[in-house]
Amino acid sequence: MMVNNDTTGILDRSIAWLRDSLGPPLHDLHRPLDLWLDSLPMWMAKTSAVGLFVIVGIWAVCLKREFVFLGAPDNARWRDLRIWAVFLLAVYATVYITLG
Amino acid sequence: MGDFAGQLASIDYLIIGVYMAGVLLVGTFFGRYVHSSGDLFLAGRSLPFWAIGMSIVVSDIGAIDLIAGAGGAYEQGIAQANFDWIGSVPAVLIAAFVFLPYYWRAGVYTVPEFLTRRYNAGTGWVQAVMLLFFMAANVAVFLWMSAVFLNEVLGWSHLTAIWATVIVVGIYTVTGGLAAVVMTDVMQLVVMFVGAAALLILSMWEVGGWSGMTQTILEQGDKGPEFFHLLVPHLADTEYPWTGMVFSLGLIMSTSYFVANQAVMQRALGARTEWDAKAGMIFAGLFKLFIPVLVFVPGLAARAIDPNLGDEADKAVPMLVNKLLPAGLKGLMFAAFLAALMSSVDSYLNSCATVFMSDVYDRIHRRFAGKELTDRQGVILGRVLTATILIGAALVAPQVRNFGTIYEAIQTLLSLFQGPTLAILLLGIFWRGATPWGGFAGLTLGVITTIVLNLLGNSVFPSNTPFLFVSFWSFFLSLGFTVFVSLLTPRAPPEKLRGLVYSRVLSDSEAQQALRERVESD
Repeated sequence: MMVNNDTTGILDRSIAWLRDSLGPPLHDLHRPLDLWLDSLPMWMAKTSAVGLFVIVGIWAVCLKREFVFLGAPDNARWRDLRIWAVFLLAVYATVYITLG
Repeated sequence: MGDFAGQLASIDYLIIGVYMAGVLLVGTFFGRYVHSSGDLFLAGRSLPFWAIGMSIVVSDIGAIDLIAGAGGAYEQGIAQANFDWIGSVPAVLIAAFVFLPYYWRAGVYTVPEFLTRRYNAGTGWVQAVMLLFFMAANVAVFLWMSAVFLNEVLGWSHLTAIWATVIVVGIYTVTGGLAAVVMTDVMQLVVMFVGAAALLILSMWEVGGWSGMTQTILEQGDKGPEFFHLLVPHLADTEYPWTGMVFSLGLIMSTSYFVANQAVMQRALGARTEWDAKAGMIFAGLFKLFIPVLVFVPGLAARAIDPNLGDEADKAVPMLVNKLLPAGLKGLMFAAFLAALMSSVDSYLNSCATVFMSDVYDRIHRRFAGKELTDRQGVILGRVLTATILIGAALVAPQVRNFGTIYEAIQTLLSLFQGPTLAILLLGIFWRGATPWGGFAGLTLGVITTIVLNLLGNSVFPSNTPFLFVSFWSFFLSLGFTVFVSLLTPRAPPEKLRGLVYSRVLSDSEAQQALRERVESD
């Protein structure tokens, strides 16, 4: 039990030393970034989220037909995974436009 | 959970019994198709896309998510839903169209296996040890949670409940392997969705629909309109600022989860064709859409019904179950909790055995015996390994009670290597200049940096639970470590990289032939 207490004490002191020595300079580095991000209007948050879906959607549409059908038993339209991807992204983008 | 005790009627017990018997029957049925370790761990590459998608989703949702997820929504609002929405959809598409075809064509079955081939044995070992510890610990934690649940609901002792779960899950996981795990997962997803949908419909009826619920919560006065927004300001009083949700969760954490988590990738690699593997991943993204609706909206409804749960937000779902569900549906809801628990245990168990067999035992065996295992030896050893891990986890499970925050500790452990793993995977696949020592340094220094940043916590970042910030920075720092050390250390010979760099795996048949030859000669 004594050993456990000693170990815990050393660990706690090490963490405290780490927070005291590294915490303030890193906080000073990170703080301006936090303040800048907080100053951004919330429409930029929504645009970023929806923009992510749009960029991934454009990339998915640009994939080659042979690549998305590779291994499929036939080339039926419903097996086109680009259509699946665009449908999925459209639903998610709508959710973020509505609730973002 | 204690609120459930003594609430069940005979019809509820009957439904739970039928569910358990059904899972056992379906699970053991697949044992007849297991003739090699490939059948045991990759389902003989026979899985259809719909089973893969459903299994990925249900393995990701544990009983704790059903309870704590709703509790989180009760406290934090719908920002909690980001974990299943933006935390899955860009990632499943990146996994389906970038990483999966790569793994599939490169012939790798585990991430440590890739890291060993692309970098060196040390990098693979570090990743394998971390993965094994994480998955084995998860099996023990889920067994303990199962024991607590069965103790509360059926009054069984903890030990009886643990060994009952071990027997049921063990029988079908040991005999049927991945195919049994995936097909029982499909059953479990249906049960979970039906149970959760019943709770959703009745709770929404109780609060007068979405508009009635939002109006009631706003009139209560302690929550503003931001409670119903997915994206909240960077320095707002929340654990989930929009910057962390979009840039850390949406791009880094979720991508790492879907491309480096053995439990996810193994299902896709068990697909019958490359198309099924990709389609299964995207199909999982479709099901993920429903999780917040089924899990978090009842949490919001609970707030409208009773805003005074205070620190006991996790009682939101038990309160709704007791208040709203009639006999029969209550049994279905309990079956849904059991399904969530069992699917998590069987998934991590099977994946843990796969990593141990592929990345530890097989390497040692080949080095000392100088030959590969026969199919029969592979099946026997795989089953013995699965059973051993399960029994070991069962023996350790009661100790979980002594570590109140062990679940959080395990989740923190997972977050420690998500950023570094994604960094060295991306560089390994897309940059030929990444050297063996660069990959090793990127992983180890990245994990050490992540630990330090976690310890610094709110002394640096504007949150008491800064895992979103830590994952973001650890990813970029690991990229930096890998590039820096790679520029100072010798590259692997070009022959070693043939077939292991993305563009050549996709288009260069010569490289694929070289890879096949290397796999055969390994």
